[in-house]
Amino acid sequence: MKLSPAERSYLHDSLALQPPIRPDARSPAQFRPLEASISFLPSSNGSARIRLSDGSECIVSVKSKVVLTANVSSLILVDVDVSGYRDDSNFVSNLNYHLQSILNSHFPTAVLRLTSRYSFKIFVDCVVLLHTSYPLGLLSLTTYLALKTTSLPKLVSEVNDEEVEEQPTFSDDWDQSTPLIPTNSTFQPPLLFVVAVVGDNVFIDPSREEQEVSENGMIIGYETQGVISPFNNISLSDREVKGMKLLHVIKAHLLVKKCGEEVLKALNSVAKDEGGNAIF
Amino acid sequence: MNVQDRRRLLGPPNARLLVFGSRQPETADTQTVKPADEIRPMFLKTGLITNANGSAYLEVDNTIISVSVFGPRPIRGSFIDRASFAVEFKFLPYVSQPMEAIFECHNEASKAAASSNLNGRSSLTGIEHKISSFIETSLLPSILLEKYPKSSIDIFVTVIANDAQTNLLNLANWAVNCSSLALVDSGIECKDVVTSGHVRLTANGNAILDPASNSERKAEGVAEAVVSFMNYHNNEIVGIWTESEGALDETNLSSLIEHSKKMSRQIRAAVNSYMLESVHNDD
Repeated sequence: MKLSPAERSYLHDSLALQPPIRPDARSPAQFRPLEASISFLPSSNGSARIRLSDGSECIVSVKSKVVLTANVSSLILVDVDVSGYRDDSNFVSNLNYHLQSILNSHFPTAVLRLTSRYSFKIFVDCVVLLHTSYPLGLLSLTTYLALKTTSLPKLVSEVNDEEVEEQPTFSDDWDQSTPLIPTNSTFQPPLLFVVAVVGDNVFIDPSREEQEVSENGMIIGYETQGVISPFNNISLSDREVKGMKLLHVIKAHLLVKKCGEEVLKALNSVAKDEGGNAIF
Repeated sequence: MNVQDRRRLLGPPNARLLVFGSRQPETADTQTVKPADEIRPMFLKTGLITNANGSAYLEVDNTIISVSVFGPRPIRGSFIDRASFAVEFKFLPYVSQPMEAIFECHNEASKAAASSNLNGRSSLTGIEHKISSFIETSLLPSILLEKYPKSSIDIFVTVIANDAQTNLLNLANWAVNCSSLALVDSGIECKDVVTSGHVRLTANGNAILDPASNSERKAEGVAEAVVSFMNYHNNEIVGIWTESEGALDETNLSSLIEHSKKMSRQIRAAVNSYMLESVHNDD
């Protein structure tokens, strides 16, 4: 979308005000309203869908496979597909990189170990059906929900197969399945937030118009313990990109720290809700 | 009577035995430990690639990077009021990439396609895409794109040699520095020369400038970052890329930025003196 010079200047100035005025009257730490549903794909271990009011939609499915631990380098593989973009484009590759690297560095792969030889390998497949703003935040929220609702079949064979080689066998009762992330564990999957910088203000979850006039952007990771890496910057628009000050970086850090906890709480309440598995 | 032995192949009569010099005793692998607050020496050269508008070549230890800048080139198609800017970062096919294993090159099909093609793969890997966009984000604020309507500026970064142990962020750091020097060489109008610094923070709060290898990272590193600056433009931060093991708090973050700034200023001084020298040599 192209803004006229007048629109651009009006939007930029109102976002740079103290306090800022966002076009949809949100506060700087407020997300756009979204609708989330979970566990609706019958053939995958966990799934989630998030839709935004502007029509943006993302579906994530988590599948698993039993592999020999020695044969694989990573137990999590993320694949991102964005409609309208080639899979080998820079845009899609960068989304993929961010999701893959945050899960690799902050997901305890020990929970995927089955026996001394075998592990589960998790495949996280993400589809962005429609997006208006940079979809990383949306992808990350959906991935979080999908991982939270993932359950894996219960292992019934012996755990120790060091002496006797044995293929793992599983209970065929799906009610016996164990959640990937145990309900009592302190660990939660990591999240990624997109932050836009306009003037001296920082905004979480920028809309498309806000991105257009933003001077810079940041991608910030969050986990229950606080802000984690990545803490990267990204140009959200190709016009009037400017450098940031240390102040912006610190402000963005505080912003994510402030709203990260609330987002986690909201997502966890969605993940607990077992009723919503019919979406069509 | 001739008694020469005709049944065997004899060497010439004046042949002598080869004598090898005594082997030098192998010197112990004396890996000099770089002081934490120093940058490794680098070699810079511009203008080696003659058919590009600007080029730069950089060597640091075993890392060799070459950058060529093409532009401003006219574009086909509809009018644009400012130049479009693109960066492509690529490892030569024989160079091993850091963290290759984690980002499995997508699927078996693309691997098969790559092996059948003698020139290696046709598309970039995830890491190459990530570094490309980091360089692009870092340089974008400095270039006066509105001076070049209807044109495109392309930067091609090639890693000619690299150690497998070299840290990904360290490589990104040198790639940014080399690219901005190439940009200066091309004569494209810029606000400032972007330089970057790479810093690792240790658990006891010390900062190591320009840490080359990953080896100590797991042992003592808590966080590291590569941050690009426009040093003569209010020290604006134009690129930031951090990796940390655990939580990243504000004090760590600002100390990473401060120390990277220090390193980027040192590199800026080196780049400045190189440019001054090359101007004098031209005269």
